[in-house]
This record gives sequence, structure tokens and C-alpha cells, in this order.
Amino acid sequence: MRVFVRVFGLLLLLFTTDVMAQQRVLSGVVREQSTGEPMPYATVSIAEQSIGTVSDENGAFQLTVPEGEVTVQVTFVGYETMRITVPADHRGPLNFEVKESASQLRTVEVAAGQSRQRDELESTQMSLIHLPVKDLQGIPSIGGETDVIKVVQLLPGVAQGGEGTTALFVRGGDADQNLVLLDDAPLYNIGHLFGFYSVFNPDALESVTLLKGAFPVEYGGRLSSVLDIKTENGAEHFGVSGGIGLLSSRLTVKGPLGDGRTTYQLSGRRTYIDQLAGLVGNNIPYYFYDLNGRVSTKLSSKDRITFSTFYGRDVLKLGNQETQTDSVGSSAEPEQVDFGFTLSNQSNSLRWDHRINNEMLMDVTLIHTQFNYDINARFDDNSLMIQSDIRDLGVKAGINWYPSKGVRYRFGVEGIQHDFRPNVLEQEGDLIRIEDRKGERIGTQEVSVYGGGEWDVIPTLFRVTAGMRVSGLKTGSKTYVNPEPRLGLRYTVGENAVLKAGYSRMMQYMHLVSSSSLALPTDLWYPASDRVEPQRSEQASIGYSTLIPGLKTSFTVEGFYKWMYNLTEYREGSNLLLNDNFEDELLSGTGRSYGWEFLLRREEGRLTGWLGYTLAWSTRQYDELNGGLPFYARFDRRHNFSAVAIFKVSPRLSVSALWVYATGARFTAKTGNYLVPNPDNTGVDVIPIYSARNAIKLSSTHRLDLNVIWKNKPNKRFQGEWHVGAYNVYNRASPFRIDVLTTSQGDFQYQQPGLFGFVPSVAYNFKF
Amino acid sequence: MMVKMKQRVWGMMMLGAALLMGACVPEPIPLQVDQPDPKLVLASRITPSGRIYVMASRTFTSLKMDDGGENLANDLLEEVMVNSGKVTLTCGGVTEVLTPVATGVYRSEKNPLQIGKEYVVVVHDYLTGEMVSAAEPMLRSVRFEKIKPKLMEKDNVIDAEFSYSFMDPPGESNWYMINVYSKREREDDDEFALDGDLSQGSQVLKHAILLRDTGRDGEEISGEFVVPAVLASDSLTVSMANISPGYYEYLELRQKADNYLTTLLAEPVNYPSNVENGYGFFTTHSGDSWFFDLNSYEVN
Repeated sequence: MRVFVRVFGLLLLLFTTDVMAQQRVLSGVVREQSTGEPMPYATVSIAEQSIGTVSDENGAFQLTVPEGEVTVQVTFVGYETMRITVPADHRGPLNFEVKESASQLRTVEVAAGQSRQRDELESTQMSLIHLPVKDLQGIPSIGGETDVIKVVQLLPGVAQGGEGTTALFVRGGDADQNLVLLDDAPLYNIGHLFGFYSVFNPDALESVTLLKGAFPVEYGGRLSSVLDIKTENGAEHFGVSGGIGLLSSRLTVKGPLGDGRTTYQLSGRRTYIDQLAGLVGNNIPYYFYDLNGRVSTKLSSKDRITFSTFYGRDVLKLGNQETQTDSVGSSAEPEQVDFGFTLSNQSNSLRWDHRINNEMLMDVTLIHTQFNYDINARFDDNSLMIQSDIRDLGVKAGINWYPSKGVRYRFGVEGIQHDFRPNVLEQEGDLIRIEDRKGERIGTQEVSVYGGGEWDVIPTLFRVTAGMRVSGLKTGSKTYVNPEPRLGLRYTVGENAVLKAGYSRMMQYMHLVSSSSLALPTDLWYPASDRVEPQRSEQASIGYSTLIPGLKTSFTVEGFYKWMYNLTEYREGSNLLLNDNFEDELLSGTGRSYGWEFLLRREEGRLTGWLGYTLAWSTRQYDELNGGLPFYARFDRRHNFSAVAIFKVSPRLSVSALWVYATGARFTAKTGNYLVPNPDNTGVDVIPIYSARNAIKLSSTHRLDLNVIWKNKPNKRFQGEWHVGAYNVYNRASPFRIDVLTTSQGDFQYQQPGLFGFVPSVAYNFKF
Repeated sequence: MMVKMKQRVWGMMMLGAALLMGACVPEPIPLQVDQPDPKLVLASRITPSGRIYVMASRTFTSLKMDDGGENLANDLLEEVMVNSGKVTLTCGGVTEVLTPVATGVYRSEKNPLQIGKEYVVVVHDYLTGEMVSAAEPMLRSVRFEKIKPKLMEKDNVIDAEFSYSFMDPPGESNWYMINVYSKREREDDDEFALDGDLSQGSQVLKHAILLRDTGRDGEEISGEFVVPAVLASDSLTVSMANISPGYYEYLELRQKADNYLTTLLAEPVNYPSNVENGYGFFTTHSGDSWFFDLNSYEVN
């Protein structure tokens, strides 16, 4: 640790020598007046001079100005320009609260997109894609409701799992390697309905940011990506919005409380598949619901407290009890078949933002998250109950320090208590022979400290981000401590073009133990332990980004190479669920992935959208799997292409289309069988012969989705819009498994079924 | 406004029901998967009286059976069993040609079990010209020092609780298999049955235990197990054998796949084999069998 402090101190000395003499630094925070929320990307400048900067994601800015009186102005398209004359002897903070300009609202999104693109270009951060949720609402989706996770799956570098699922496989990583944060609290399950729906109600969200590499020091705990999702702030005026879709409905209310220093937002969503199926005579006893809430209050000019909460629950209850009658007509014992499960998912975060002085902003967040499931099955006298539970309680604290123009440091600490109860098994009867397992609670403590900064080495030309995160885990009788260095470089090659490079080492102190071939809602989170080592990755990436002003478009190409260590898989032949000793069944191996990603994106104008393409490879190697030979990962999809287009035909009419293509996923298929005498010597057992691991490639998937949005007349208080669309317009199966089925000629044939064909949708959204 | 909204929700639900009815299920896409060439398969059994049986068959592709098919078609059984072969068993320099006793099943007539000797089985299929072989040593037999049942009744169900002990041979690693069989009359629909000693009535495997002597080398190994839901009129046979580590691993994997749910949820596995250029497992072991007529035990 001492060595780390010294090295880091040296780095500080090396890079903070550009503080200019004969000048002074003005700093402060730009906030939105109605909500009090920090306002990123606002332009802060000296009037009539070419001196300016842009506020960061916390609304903070640093501006180096000449000595003497100056007039500082803050501009943001869609907001009224604000000017303050700052005397020569002023040394205090400059805080701006800017007011929305009604006449300019229409241009807000255009300018925001332009500003964001410019900001992303000028940052050292690479492998980042920011998606404002409002921009996603025209994108076609199954059921007519925007699903941010399904949109993220369309981005370069992200491979989808099975059709319709919310699993993300980022840059050749596994589904458990994504840190999904909802207002700073991690979520361990992001899917409803076996993953067909994500848990994110689009009405409650503000933005989604995906990081695939070159991770900043404040992020850790997962190997492959960070998905940072922010809910929307409350509002100055009371308002209601919602949507009625085919499968679910949503309602959101937001507004001020008391004197307006406090705002709130409450959102709820529930499916009615159960009700809908009943109308056509079917029984689907399944539903889910989720609730989001956010309350934010401005305690003083320096302090703000924000509480965010989420709760979601899936419920399935299948039951059938009927009395059997024997051949002579007398009643027999009832045959009872019941099956049901509940999945519960919740997160809470309480964040305190505090401005220490003109140069320092502090944030402290308490987090709580919990995910558990409970499966019950009964067949007459046989029953099976399976439960699993994971919960976190933690605190994060960080300081942003802006000592001079173009220099930013970030320091912080995190501590999380993880409690796992990975698998509780209880059974009765003879049908399933397995010993009960109480599911002992396993507690681990994860602690991280980090520090890093961002500096201009050669102003406007060469900029560096460097930092170190040191993470550790106390588990059982073992303590793991690991350094996680981070580095980002940006070199300007033209007015609108930059080269970037990044390196990051990531640690992950937990594993998602899941099937290699089945998508189950029952995946188990399991901590690193005395025997199960934490996962680790090293990733290097390079990239080129350019803005094409004439086309209002940005283009990015990035290459990456990622090494992954201590990945886990189940031993061949081991049981996925009814397992009473995980650690004996887990194997440790390595992974490697590399590839190129291309993104052409337009966020302004009547036509917006993107073209994304990924060419990538992902392999795994385990000494005890596949004869020790490397094999392709299950979702090693060589080519991934997506085209998303939203065209505003008129202020009231928009049309959108989405076409995706992906190389087929891989599969370990049963290719043969043989017979052996059964243990009773009364018959034979059929023993399967499998292909090499993931040796069979399923057919490629591609589909076209369409959507039309028709809005009512503008300037009405009640705003409504109809979404009419179709998923998988040309009804092509997206293979997710292989079956051997009988053909019409009576032969047997391998076939790849798909889950969803052509699915029309209608949804109605409203706001008042 | 609320009435209007309710009307919209109800309308959407009706519309949704209609649209869902109009949704399409996509046609599955056919897939070509390279099929492995058929190979010979060996399996063996040793009866309590010491007779060795060998079953010889061929692998067959997945396209011979529907995924949902539970029962093997008779013509497929005929097709995969090797009836056109010669099966030899060599031990201690003596080679015996085994006698065909049923479809694909061959029996040793001469070989007494010879402890410590290696048994080599060779199958030569005249039809295809293929030949496979497997070798396995006959490990020393280990006998129970004590084994006795105790019948316990609860809720009108009788469980047989067995306690046992035996001495582990010192200076070597050992793997054990303990099987509990109950007698069962042979049924007409049995697909396949070994002839000879078992023909008077097959044995139903009621319970199976796999044990290792890790950390207990040369010590007395004792334990208990429960055979649930027996009848007071049952007779049970408990046999123990000292088996090879390869066969132990094979049985362990088979045991994991021994119920319906695990069949669905187990990870894919290619079972270990000691057959050169083929599949299956040739095993030899000398068992210690104890017979219990539960009628002679008191129910507690």
C-alpha cells in the first residue's frame, strides 16, 4: 500500500505542473433550476472571449481566467443564458441555476446530442456508449414497450444470448461479468419473464451508459462491462405519464413536494398476460410487476440527498388437482401437481452530494440490493423446494477534485458486505433422490480504494487518464488483495478526430454458476472462496473516433484484446440445480477474446440511429473440459450487425426500423447414442454421445422489426401517442437449441426452433 | 378521464388478445450435423456366482431416435446389437471364446474369477471387420465384516436401515461399490435380460453407494444407509465390490444422471471408457454378496 501511495504521489507531481501563473481559477456547479439536479455538458465561458469549458457529469466546472473582472456566462441549448459578473477579488464558488427556455425546447435534444458527441470525442474515455432513454423510445420492440437492455444488445461489442433474453455477453465475456448499476446500486438479475423483459421500466429512466473497456477507477467488481443506469429526476410541476401495451401497462407520477426543494418520481408496471390469456380461453398464471421511486431534496446550496428504490417480483403459480377414478368407478387418491416460483429483486440507494469547496465535490452513497428466488414443485407425495438468495449492503464514497483547468482527480473507497445463500434444497418422496441442503449463509466482505486523475500532457493534443484501484475480499479463511491499474490515452489527430487507447485490469469476486446450454431463471451467484478463486481480466483496447459535422454523425472503430482468468464452469455431467456441493463441481479455466467494433451513429436531425458491426472471437480453455482443448464460447458470434433508423416524417409521425444479424450461437449437441445394460439387467439404458464442446454452430439469426408512432396534436395538455409495430416481420426462427424431430416422411432430422415469430404490437403512451 | 382510460385499457387487452392469436410461430430451421461413424460398444456384468457376461453393440446416430422417444424400437435394437461377432476373453494366458446367449450378449463358460489377474476382452465384428478390446484387472475382493438391517416403520412405511463395516486393504487406494437388490419377477416387456444365473428373476437395484478409502487406508470402514419403502416380505441382496477407479468414475457420472430432473439439467458429458477405439466400460470385480430375508427381522 505504501508503495502504491508513493507511486501515485509521483504521478501527481508529474502531471500537475500545468497550473498557470498570473491567472485565477473559477469553479462551481451548474444546476437545473426546477429540479436542482447537476447539469452536465453546459458551456461555461467568458463573454466575448474564447475562454470556455464544459461542465462534467456532476455539473462541476473549472475555468481559468485572466486576473481582473470578468463576465461568466452559462449556456445550454434549450435554457436561458445566464451571466454573472465576477469581481477581480472574488474567490468563492460560482453556482449557476439555469432555467428552461420554453421557446427552445424543440432544439434541446439536437444540441444535447451534438454536445455529447463532442464531449465523448474529447474525453480520454473510450469504449463508452451513452444512450438517453428518450432517444430510444421510437425503436421497435416486442410488445411495443422500449426495453433498454434489448437496445444495449444492439450495440457493437455486445452479443445477445438466446432469443428474447436479457443476458449480455460483452466483448467475449460471460453473462455474469456485467456490473449493472441502477442509481449506483448493483442488480443481480435484470430480467423478468425468463429474461424476455428487462426489469427496467423505461418511463422511470433518464439514461443508460455502457462501458466495455478502459474502465475508470471508480468502477470495479465485474470483468466485462459496466451498465450505469440512472432514473429520471422528479419535476417542478406535477405530471403523469404512462403507457398501455399488449402485455403490460405503466404509470409514472412526478412532481415537487413542499416548497419545491424536494422532487419525487414514482413509477409502476404490471403485466396482464394472465388476464389476456384468460380472454382467449388459456390459463397463464404468471405475472410480474415492478416499482421505481426517486426522491431528491436540496438541503442547502452545497448539499443534496437523493433516495432511489426499485422492487420487482415475478410470480408463477401452476396448479392442478384432480381426482382420478379407477376402472370400477370408485374414486382413487387425488393426483396433485403444483409448480410455482417467485423471483424477487430489489435495490435501494441513498446518495448525498456535497460541495466541499470550489474545487471539490464529494458523494457518499449507501446501497442495498437483494435478489432471491423460490421454486416449489409438488407431484402427489413428492415435493421439491429450491431457494437461493443474495444480498449486498454497502457504502461508496468518492471525491472529485478539480485543482486547475483540464485537471480532474477522483478518489474513493467502497465497502460491501455480500451475503449469499446459494442453494437451499428440500425434498420429499422417492421421485427425486437428493439430500436436503440447508443452504448455509456465506458472508464475504469486499473493499476497494481507488485514486486516479485526468491531465493534459500536451494541451489539446495529448491527454492521459491514469489510476489505480486496489480491491480485496475477505472470504472464509482467505483474503484476496489485487491491484487494478487503469490507463487511458487520447491523441488528437485533427479538429474532429482522435486516437484513443486504454488498458484496464478488473477483478470479480463472485461467479454466476449457470448452465452451459440452458437459460434458466435459477442461476446461482456464488462467492470467491478458499477454493474458488476470483475472476480476473486484462483488457487492452485502441480506437479511432471522428465527428463528421456535415452529416451530424460520429464514427468510431475500436479493437480490443481481453484475457480472462479463473472463469468457472460446471464439471461435465454435474447437476445444475440439485447439487449439494458446488465447489466440488466447479472447474477453473481461462478465456480469451478479441475483435473489432464499428459504430456509425447519428443523434441529430430527422433521421437518427446507428449502424453497428462487430467482428470478434471468444474462446475458453479448461484442463478438465473438452479434453483440455480450447473451445469456442457459447455465444461466440463471429459477426454481429445492427441497423437502427428512426425517421421523423412530420412532427406527429415517426417510423422506425431495426434489422439485426448475428452468427449463430454454439452448442454441444448430442450426435449419437449407445446402449448399456441397466443396473437391474432388465433392459438397456441409452447413453448419449456428445460433440466436442460448443462444436456445433447454430444457424445465423436475423430479423426485421418495424414501428410507427403517431402523436396527437402538439400544444395540448394531454399528450398521447400510438405505437404500432411488428417484431420479426418476416417470421424467421432465431435458433436457440437443437431438437431431433420426426419429419413428414417419418425420418428424423435436426431442427432449430425459434421462440418468437411475427408478433404484431400496439401500445399507447400518454403524458399530462 | 379515468373512465376513458379504463376503456382504453380494456380495448388494448381485447386488441392484444386478438393480435396474440394472430402471432406466428416460426418454422424451425433444419440443421446438418456431421454424424459420427458407428463404433463398437462393450459392456460387462458379473453375476454373484462369478459368471462374466459381455454385451457387444454399436453406437447409433441421434437421427435414429426422436428426442421425445422413450422406448427403443425393436428393429433398432436388432440393428445395433452385434450378433455377427466373436467375443474372446483372455486371462492368465488362456483365451476363451464366449458363448452367445441372447441378442448381442455373450457369456463366459469357463473362467473362474482369478484375483489379481488381468482380463482382456476382444470383440471382432465379422460384418464390419471392426475389432475393439478392453483390459481390466480383477481386484482382490473385500468382504463385509458386519452388515445387518434394522426395519423401522413410520406412517405405515417400512425402511430398512443397514449398518455395515469392513476392513480396507492397507497400502493401496481402493474404490468400492455397494449395491442393494431386491428380487423381482421377470416381466414380458423386459427389453433385454441377461440369461443364466439371473434368469429365474431379475434383481431390482434398490440402492447404490460409491465409496473411497481416502484418508482411511488400512482402517475399518463403517457406515449406514437406508433402503426406503421395503416390504416385510422382501428379500434383499447386498453386494460389495472393490472396483477400479475408472469404473468408479463411470458409475459416479451414471449415478448423477439417475433421475428425471438431472437428465434435463445435467451438463453434457461423454462417459469415460476403457474400450480402445470404442465406447462402454468393461469391468471385472469379485463381489461379496449377503442375502437378507426381511421376514426374519422384527419391525420396530
